[in-house]
Amino acid sequence: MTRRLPGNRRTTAGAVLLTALFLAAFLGPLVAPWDGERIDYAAFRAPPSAAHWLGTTQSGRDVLALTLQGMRTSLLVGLLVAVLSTGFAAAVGMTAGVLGGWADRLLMFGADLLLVLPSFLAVAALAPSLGGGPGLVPLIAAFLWMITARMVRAMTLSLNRRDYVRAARYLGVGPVRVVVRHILPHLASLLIVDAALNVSLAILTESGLAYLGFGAQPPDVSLGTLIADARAAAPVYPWLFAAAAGPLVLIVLAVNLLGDGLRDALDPAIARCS
Amino acid sequence: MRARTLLAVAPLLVAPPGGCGEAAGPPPVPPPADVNPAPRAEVRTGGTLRWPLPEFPVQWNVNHADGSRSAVGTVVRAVLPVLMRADARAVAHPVPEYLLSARVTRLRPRQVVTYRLNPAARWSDGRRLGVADFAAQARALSGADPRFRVATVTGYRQIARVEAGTAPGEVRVVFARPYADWRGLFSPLYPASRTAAPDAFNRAWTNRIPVTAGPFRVARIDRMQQTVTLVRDSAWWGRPARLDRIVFRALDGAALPGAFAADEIDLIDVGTDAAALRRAAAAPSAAVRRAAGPDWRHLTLNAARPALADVRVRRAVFAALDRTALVRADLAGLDWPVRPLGNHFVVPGRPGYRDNAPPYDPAAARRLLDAAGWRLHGRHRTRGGRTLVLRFVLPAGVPGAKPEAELTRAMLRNVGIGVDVRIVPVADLFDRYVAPGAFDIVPFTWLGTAFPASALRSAFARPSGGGLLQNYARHGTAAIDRAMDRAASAAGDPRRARALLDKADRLLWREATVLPLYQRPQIVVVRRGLANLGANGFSEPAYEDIGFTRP
Repeated sequence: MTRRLPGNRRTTAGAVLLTALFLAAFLGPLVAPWDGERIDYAAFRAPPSAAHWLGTTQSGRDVLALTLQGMRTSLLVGLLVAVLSTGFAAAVGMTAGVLGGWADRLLMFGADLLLVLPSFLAVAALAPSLGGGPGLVPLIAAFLWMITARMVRAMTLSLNRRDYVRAARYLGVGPVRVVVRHILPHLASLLIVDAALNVSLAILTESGLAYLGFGAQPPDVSLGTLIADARAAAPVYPWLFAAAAGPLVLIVLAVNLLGDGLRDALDPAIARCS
Repeated sequence: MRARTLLAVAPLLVAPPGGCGEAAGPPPVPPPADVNPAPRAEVRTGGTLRWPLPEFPVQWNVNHADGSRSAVGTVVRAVLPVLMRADARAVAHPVPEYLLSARVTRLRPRQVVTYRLNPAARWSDGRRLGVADFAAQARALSGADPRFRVATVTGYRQIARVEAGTAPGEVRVVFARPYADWRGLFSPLYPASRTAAPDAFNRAWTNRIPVTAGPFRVARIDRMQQTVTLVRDSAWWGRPARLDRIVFRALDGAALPGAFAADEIDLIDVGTDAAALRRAAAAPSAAVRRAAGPDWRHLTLNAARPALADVRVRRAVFAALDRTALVRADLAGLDWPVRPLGNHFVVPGRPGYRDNAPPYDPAAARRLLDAAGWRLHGRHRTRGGRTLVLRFVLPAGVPGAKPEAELTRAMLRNVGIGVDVRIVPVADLFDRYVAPGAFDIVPFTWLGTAFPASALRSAFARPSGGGLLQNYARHGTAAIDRAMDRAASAAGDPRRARALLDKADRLLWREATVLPLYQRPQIVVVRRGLANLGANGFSEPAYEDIGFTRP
């Protein structure tokens, strides 16, 4: 148990940080003096002050409120994409592994096809028709599941040959039950780690798309649109840029700490090496 | 010693705007032009001016449909004859190197303008400037021959014929209908040898400027580096250019402040971008020139859309928008007086300017919407099962557009009009949204000229026969057209022309299609010492006088 501590400590740090960011994003608006929709006609691009803790934008919107709103969008997108893409990967990988034959070939052909597509370009091309922000979730998820699905399939194939799985089959247990009872539990650690890492990937992808103008449309904001708006003015109005870029770095850091830590904690092979 | 004191004082004069000047009350109204005028004796001979262009043109015939861009005009005015040049008060005068005189010699039965050419004026191929050049340009731009792919026919359409005068070097231009803004014609003048045939007009100026007649000549057009290098032309018969060289370089707007700070360019027009202004002004040896220019910012409402087809709804939008707040947001950090623009043709500071705008009145907006049948249900207005939502289209990355969208949205929501904001790539804005009419509201800038009646006609004239010209509001009236046309033809009576233009403006406000926001500030950060160029306002630079003052 002691050997796993480094992993656990990282897990704890990541979990605490992420919880704090979540609380700030979802409960912060209760404390913050402004909401992101309201316009202060007396303060256009004002520097930080007592009334606006992080200043205002050129439209008189409160930067703190916008940052919290952007964090909510980014966190939601991250979580939803992670659940969707990892869930899909698990379903596809296990189906291919258990059924084998033409189903296996078809599913893996699909995965390979998506792998060779330049995913960012494809997402950017399709994004405008889906609207921004949460509309991007299925699109980003559609391009994140393939590698995981291949890993799941490989593990399912090897698990499928284990004696207890064979025994269960010979006793007449159906494929669905075999998967749920005997295969899925062994894949849990892989999937949890994968989901955690997908959160940060999704947040970064959404931010990148938003930065390029394919993400959230006004009045919705995400951290990416905030960074894009603040970019040109960054040398002159640094608080605008820092308010958007800071939380993005913190969220990705927290999620990566959590993911790394979980991987170390759950995977005995890696824990021994560290 | 004296020079040093002056240098020490100079940075105070150009102290960065915003920040320190806030307590000093409203900033003063800027002059119509701020170009650091200096007599030629004080301008040093020699030096290179590095001048950024917003894009790298392919077609250098500014009268061609593909060449009608500011970058082309900026370059060719240094190398081609500019017969009439506007001063800071927007009055055009003949340029003596080309014209001994130009005046209206007859008004009845037909307006005749007689130009007396300077006998020394020659093209770089040795030919003299003459009636053939005038005739070729008038014919190409008359619109009579569709093989000439022209950008505009304004003014040239009215010309009946061009003929040689009685004295040598005299050119008589006879107008079929009176045309008050004739001073804007034939500047720049292109040589007949390379524009008379449609094929030459369309192709002889792609990627090259074959013939010149100006203080500079073209040394090199480098498409790889996206630069155009002009050098002093020794064949120029006027006062020789002070600069050795002008290097134009196409640069993306976002790269300009950095390029100026890194001493790669010598001037930068920051527009309304406060961040760019502060970055550029902080560079060593920077000086800020400010002028109240001719350009103006506005919102165009698309009257062809179902909701906005009703003039009451358009008027409600006008009344619901607090233009002062919009202008304050757009110009935040520029240290610029907040003055909403109240006229479609004339900007403040020009004769004939009158504020004809209706007041900001949200209550009146609500009444108008009620009268139009849009009833408030909850937070939105509906009529016949449809909700009143307008689409506000704006280009990505253009400073000012986003605050305009967000404030418009907030203000219109206040009276129950929903606004759906769509950010689109800059390159798509006109081709895919504004020209096809896929918008309800769009913000952009009209570039002003010294000749508003003729220049803005295409923006306000009634669309006819499928031709919109530039009337993106897709609405006009016969009365407005008549007032504009009569103003344009009131040659020789500026008072009457102004009164007619004012009438057209008041009619436009009543139709509520184009909402002027503000006269766009012209803020140009230049290398200190740059003389006779800067925030030009209405004036056009004499390229031979541009240079650097002695340190």
